[in-house]
Amino acid sequence: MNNFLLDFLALGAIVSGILVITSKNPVISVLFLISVFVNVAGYLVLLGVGFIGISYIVVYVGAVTVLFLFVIMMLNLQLAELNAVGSEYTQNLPLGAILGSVFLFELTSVLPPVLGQSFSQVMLGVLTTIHSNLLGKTDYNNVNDVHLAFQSLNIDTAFTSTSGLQIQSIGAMLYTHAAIWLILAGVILLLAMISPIVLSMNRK
Amino acid sequence: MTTQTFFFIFIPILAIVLLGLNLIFAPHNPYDEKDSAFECGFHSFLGQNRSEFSISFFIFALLFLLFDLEILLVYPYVVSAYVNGIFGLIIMLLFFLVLTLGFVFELGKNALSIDSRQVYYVK
Repeated sequence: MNNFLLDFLALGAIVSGILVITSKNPVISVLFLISVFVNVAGYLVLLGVGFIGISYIVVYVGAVTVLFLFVIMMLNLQLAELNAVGSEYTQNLPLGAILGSVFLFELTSVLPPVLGQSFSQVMLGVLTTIHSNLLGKTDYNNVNDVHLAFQSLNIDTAFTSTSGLQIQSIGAMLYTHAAIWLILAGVILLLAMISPIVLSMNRK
Repeated sequence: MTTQTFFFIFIPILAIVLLGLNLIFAPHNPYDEKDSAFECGFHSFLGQNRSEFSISFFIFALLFLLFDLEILLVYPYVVSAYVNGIFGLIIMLLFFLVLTLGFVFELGKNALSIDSRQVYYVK
């Protein structure tokens, strides 16, 4: 049941992500962005990190989405000129293909081979050939078995034995061992608070 | 089967059945005026939909985001205050002080005051 729900949420996140990019209306794009956030938050909760999942919903859906909507309100978008047709569309396809293949190269080399060892090696070989023909670089260090370096444990249970709940152990670590990073985060938030006020002040 | 599993199965089926009943039995006669958005009886012209609004609305949303993040980082301290002791309290107060400086700055500059668009007539 857990695995089925994980796959379902991952599929929902991917489909929503595709619909964010391909929607014609920008507000519909933001709605699908909300759907991406909710799906990923559900995924994180099922993985065991409940605090991060709920904080995704509170921060992303609650505040970041509102800021996206403000940006859309402030841009003067004419819907007729948003849809690219004809040569305006095809002139962007080669760059899209290059970026997409770079992303595919990273995915197939870093993630563990899901569809079989030979499939990922064939994919890596194809992408390396394409890149060497297009960009002229012929020696690629094909990194194999990179995925062995990333062992994802389910949750790190070393700290929960002392304090019980997950959020308590986060608090115990954050305010003692990681205190300097917390204060650094506070300074970053202070900067983010001061700069828009200064930028948007009316000088009378 | 537990109650939770029963609800997980029953509620989507109920929702789909009720929506399907509406889809099958409701009359469907749309025309142009019915389909368009209701705007108090007026028709909106192309290009007249946008009006200027004060920047302080945006600053409101941005400051909400920042203070929301601050609360999110203070929340783990609140549940683990006993374990962290005095050291954790001092760290939390330092973090809070840094963000209170930003709050005082924003209060002093009156960044969140929304200008009124009401016109005052002197008689």
